[in-house]
Amino acid sequence: MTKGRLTRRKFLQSSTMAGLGTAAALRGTSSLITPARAATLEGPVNALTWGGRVIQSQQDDFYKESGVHVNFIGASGNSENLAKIKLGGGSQYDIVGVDALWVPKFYEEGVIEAFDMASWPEYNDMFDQFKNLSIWKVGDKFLAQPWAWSPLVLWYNADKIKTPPTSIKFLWDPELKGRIALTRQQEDVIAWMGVATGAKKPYDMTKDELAAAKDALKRLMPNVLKFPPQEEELVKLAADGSIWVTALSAGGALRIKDAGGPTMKGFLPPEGYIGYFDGDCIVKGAAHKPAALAWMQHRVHAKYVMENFLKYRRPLAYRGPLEVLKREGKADYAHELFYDQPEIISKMVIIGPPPDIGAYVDAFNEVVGS
Amino acid sequence: MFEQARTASVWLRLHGVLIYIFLYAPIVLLVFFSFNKSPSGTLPITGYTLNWYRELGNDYFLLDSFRNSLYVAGIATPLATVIGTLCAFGLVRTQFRLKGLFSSLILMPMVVPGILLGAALLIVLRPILGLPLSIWTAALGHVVVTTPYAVLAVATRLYGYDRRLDAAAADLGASPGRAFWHVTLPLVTPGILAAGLIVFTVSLDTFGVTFFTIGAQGTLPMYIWSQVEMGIRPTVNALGTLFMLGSIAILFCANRLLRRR
Amino acid sequence: MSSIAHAAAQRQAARGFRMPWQVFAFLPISALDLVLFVLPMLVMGVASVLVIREFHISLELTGRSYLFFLGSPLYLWILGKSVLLALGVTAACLVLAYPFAIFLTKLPRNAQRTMLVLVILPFWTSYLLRVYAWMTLLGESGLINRGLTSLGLLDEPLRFLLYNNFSVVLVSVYLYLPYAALALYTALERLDLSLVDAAKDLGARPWQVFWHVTLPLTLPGVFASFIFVFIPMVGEYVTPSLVGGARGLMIVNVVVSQVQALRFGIASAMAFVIVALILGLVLALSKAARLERVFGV
Repeated sequence: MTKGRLTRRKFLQSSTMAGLGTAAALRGTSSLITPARAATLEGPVNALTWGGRVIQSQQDDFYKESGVHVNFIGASGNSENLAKIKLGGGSQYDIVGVDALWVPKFYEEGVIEAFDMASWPEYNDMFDQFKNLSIWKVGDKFLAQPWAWSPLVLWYNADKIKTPPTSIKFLWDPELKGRIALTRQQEDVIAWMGVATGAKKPYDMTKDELAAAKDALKRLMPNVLKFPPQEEELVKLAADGSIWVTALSAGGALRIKDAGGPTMKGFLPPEGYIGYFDGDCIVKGAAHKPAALAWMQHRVHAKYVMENFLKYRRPLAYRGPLEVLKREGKADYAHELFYDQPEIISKMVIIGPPPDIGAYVDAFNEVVGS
Repeated sequence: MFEQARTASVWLRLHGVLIYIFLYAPIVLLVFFSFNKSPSGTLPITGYTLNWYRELGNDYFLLDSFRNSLYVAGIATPLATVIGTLCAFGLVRTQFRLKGLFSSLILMPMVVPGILLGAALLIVLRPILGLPLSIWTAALGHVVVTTPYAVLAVATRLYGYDRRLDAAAADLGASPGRAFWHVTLPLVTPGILAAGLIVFTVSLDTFGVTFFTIGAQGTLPMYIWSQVEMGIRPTVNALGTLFMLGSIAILFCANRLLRRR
Repeated sequence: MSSIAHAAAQRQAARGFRMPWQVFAFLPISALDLVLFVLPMLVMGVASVLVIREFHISLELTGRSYLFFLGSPLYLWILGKSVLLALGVTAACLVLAYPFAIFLTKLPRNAQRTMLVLVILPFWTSYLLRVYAWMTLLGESGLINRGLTSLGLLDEPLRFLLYNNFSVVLVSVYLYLPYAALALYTALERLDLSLVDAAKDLGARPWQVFWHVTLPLTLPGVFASFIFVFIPMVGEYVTPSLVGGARGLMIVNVVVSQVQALRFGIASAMAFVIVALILGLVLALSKAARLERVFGV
């Protein structure tokens, strides 16, 4: 364009760009035209969440579009996160990653706030089960943006365990001495025991149900090799044959195979099984709320969701990758990883904090410590 | 076996070598694994690759956490070492009632579980003192829990110190300040060096206190514990190997330079 | 005192009242600990005697939190187990580190500092990585098993190398040995060898020289070594959860799990009991070591 001549065209172009830019920034979608740096978005977005929720490529794209940096701070536990934000005040974080039924708890403690998601373009991409997730909603607003979900499947070594199990009680088979491992999440271990002993709500057990679960754990102990603090260790232990049974999310068998391990088969007990869905929440009093919301919209673009699914091999709350896989003729793969069965969510025993977390922790400690 | 000969007996030397092997065997393994093609980061070794090092260059989150760890340790180490050295001098060269109790109390920050002290410290820092959280508050937390190490390291050294050296310096006309700087300090230096090394090392691995007192930043232990779903990729391995090898290189260079004195 | 020193002292006296240097020595640590340790401990102390439900504090006093720990045979047993394990690891570290520290002092002067740093350098890789490395050594299909099997010395892999008390002690000794070695080296390096020579000249045998001359003179180093290993070891909970078996529960595991259960009252009470116990142990130990007597300070 020739310098210095303010033509009508130039004026129209620049104002259109500014308008589109602002609109795009407000909507947070990646526009075809590079928008002017929107003055509305102030960063950085501080996200206290788990590994995998903030990926480098997403971050770079978002920065290019909006000029906002996303800061990833590693979280290690729901209760620690809750304690840190509650005791320290929320102003230093904008987003916090929360699991399943912890979300209502975070809300009760006044640590997160509800936000509107229905107007976001990717909203329609969500499975209905998540659109209607009442425990995560306050009126029409959402307390958390759904991300991933999966049942915890009991994977067993098909070479060592020839007959497919028909009941969760197979875990207590004396043949499995020292061949089981579960992650060291006290509430989840006790909840599994609750499922096995027929508790109505494994994460909200009565005193008697809890006692029965504790007893079941006691009887299981000879079969347990260890309770590793990290999930990846379960994969390694299964891969090198130290354990024959473990509970992992949908892609467990594939991960074990990749680590050089044997073929594992999955078992969802008729008595019930635990599952989760997780997401990210807006911290109450977040210093950079608009930017945080923009980031949350950005990161559920179909390509990022696909990237995450292919890496972690467990389903997400969005249909996009499922459709792509079906088109590419990989519907079986999607089915194997439960992606096309979001109905399962209503059948899973959803993880979350029991009303008295301490009781579960005590039950675990008393069995394991003796 | 403990003969105080001028040179070490065969047994002592064997023991020394064995200990070094013991200390470095797992490290050698780690170095090998950083070149291992298998993403599991452990056995079996499926092939050799520089992939993880390349990935490391792109993993800004890991590099940022590592850099933050170095910042925190870098702030905490001089502070803890100086505070600890001063206290050590006080402890070794004075007598007062309840000194035993005081010195034992000084060690107590080492005893309280980090995650709990961190939460309590957070309450002090925020609602009570109203300080914004940052790398500096995390460093302060580190100083609290690592100063006892510095005190002990320097005091250990100071106990064997011959006070006649101070008197000799005074006789030669040195003021207390000069005597301290030119006589005392150089002789205590191995203790101060040991203190600094220990404080730095402990700070790098501290997790509990860090999590609660840091602002919107993450350190390396925090990053590692956040990889719950995927586990640590060999990139962390590559980072560890690089840092260690880099430190060895710096060490040898520094040694060359110092030797000229 | 010589006349020069005397003159210097007079000069100082003429300047008027001077702050005793001890104030400067103790001021920084006291200020640091008062604000950033005593205050949090007070917070914890208050929490340990009030009725607290997660984040809701009431002003009701209770001894329940202390009773939870002190009235439970199981938790007291776990405390005892943890202390014993820590003592075992400390003893092993001392036994291994002492000769090693002697070895270090006998190296050529300029090599010593380098070799010293080399001792702690491996620890500038991540802690978790080092423990994982041990797991690949000791595991069922780990290096040791694979090596022994391929040499034909084993038919079946040894399952007892990992996930039990043995591996916890072994890996813990590995993790704490450098600190013990550093502390002992600091004390040994200062040792006046002429005293040792004198003892030998007087006819003492090597063992007697060690027991009556070397050890007492390096007692501060032994004491420091003990503290560097014992105290953090009592507080260890990550290593036992990684290389210990299913039953590897240490006392700080229990405290941490109470924090994760948002039971701050109980966690605080447990921490206080542990601190009181360790404080007592350390006090007793320092009195027994009688460091002052040896050095006439």
